[in-house]
Amino acid sequence: MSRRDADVGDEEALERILAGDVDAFSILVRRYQARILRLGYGFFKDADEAQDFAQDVFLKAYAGLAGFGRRSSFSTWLTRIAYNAGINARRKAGRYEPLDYDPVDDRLPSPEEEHLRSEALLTLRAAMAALPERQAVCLDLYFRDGMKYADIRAATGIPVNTIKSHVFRAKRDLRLALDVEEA
Amino acid sequence: MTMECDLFLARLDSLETGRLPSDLEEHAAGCVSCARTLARVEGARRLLDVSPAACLVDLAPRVGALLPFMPSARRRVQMRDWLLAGALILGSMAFVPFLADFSTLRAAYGNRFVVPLGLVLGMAVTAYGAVFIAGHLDEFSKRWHVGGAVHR
Repeated sequence: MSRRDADVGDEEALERILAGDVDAFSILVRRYQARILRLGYGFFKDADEAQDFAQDVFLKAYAGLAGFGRRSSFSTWLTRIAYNAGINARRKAGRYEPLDYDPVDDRLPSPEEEHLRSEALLTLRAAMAALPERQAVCLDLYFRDGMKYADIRAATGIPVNTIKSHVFRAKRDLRLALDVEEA
Repeated sequence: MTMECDLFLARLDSLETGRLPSDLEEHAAGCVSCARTLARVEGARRLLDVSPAACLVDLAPRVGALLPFMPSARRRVQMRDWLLAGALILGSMAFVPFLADFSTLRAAYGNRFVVPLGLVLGMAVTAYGAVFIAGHLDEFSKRWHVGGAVHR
C-alpha cells in the first residue's frame, strides 16, 4: 500500500467507491487482505483456496457496498462476511485452525523471539482445540488481528461474555506456559 | 508471590487491550517477577501479529480485474426510501382539493381545470413509478425467481 493510500481512511475510500471510483476499492483490499487471507487459511489450510476465498469475500463486500448501512465499521462488516462465508464452507474444509508461523521477514528472529512465538501459537492452538469451531475463530481475531470484543461480537454474533471468557483462559494459559518454561 | 501479584496477574489476563491501568503499571514497576511476566506475555502476543509469508500476497490486482464484471457499487436509493417517497407524494396529492388555492381556482374557473391538473399529477406519478421500476428491475427479477422457486 502506498503512503498516499495509507492516509485514506475507510470512510473516505467508501465514499469514493460509492461515487463511482472503482479503483478506490483496492485501498480497502490491501488494507484488509492479510486478515481475510489468514481467516481463509484457518478454514481451508491451503494457499490457493485461501486466496480464492479472500477474493470471493472482497467481491461479495463490493457487491454489497451500496447496502452497507454503516452500523458497524467497514472492517467489522467485512470480517462478518468472511466469517459467515468460512463457517458456511467449513464442512468441506474441516476444523478452523490458526495459521502456522512461516514468516518472510527482513531480519531473522532471535531464538528468544522464536521461542515466544511458538509458545504463543501452541497455546492459541490448544485453546482453539478446546472450543466449538464457531468460537475458535474468535481467538484468532483477538490475538492475531487485535480486534476488540465488541467488534468480534459484531462479526461473529458470539456474545461478548463468551469471547471474554475464552480470551481470558487463553491469556492465562499463555502466561502459565511462559512461566513454566522460564522456571 | 504475594496476593498483590496474584491480583495483578488475574487482572492482566482480563485486560481487553494491551494498555495497562495506572495501578497495574505501578505494581509492575515495583515487582521484578510481575514485570518479567508482563514483558514475556506482551512480547509473545506482539509476535503473533506478524503477518505470515502466506498472507503477503497482493490480491488487489486480482480483485480489481473482476470488478468491471460486478454490479456497480454506486450509491442507490433503497427500495424502502422509494416507497416512502412515493407514499408521501400520493398523500400530498390527496390533500390538493383541500388547499385554499384549489378553492380559489375552482371559484374562478369552475371544474374545467380539474382534468388538466389531474393529468399533470397523473403524469408525475407515472414518471415516478417508471423510474422506480426501471431502477429496481434486477431486484424485482430476483424476487420473482426466488418466489417462483419457493412455489415450485
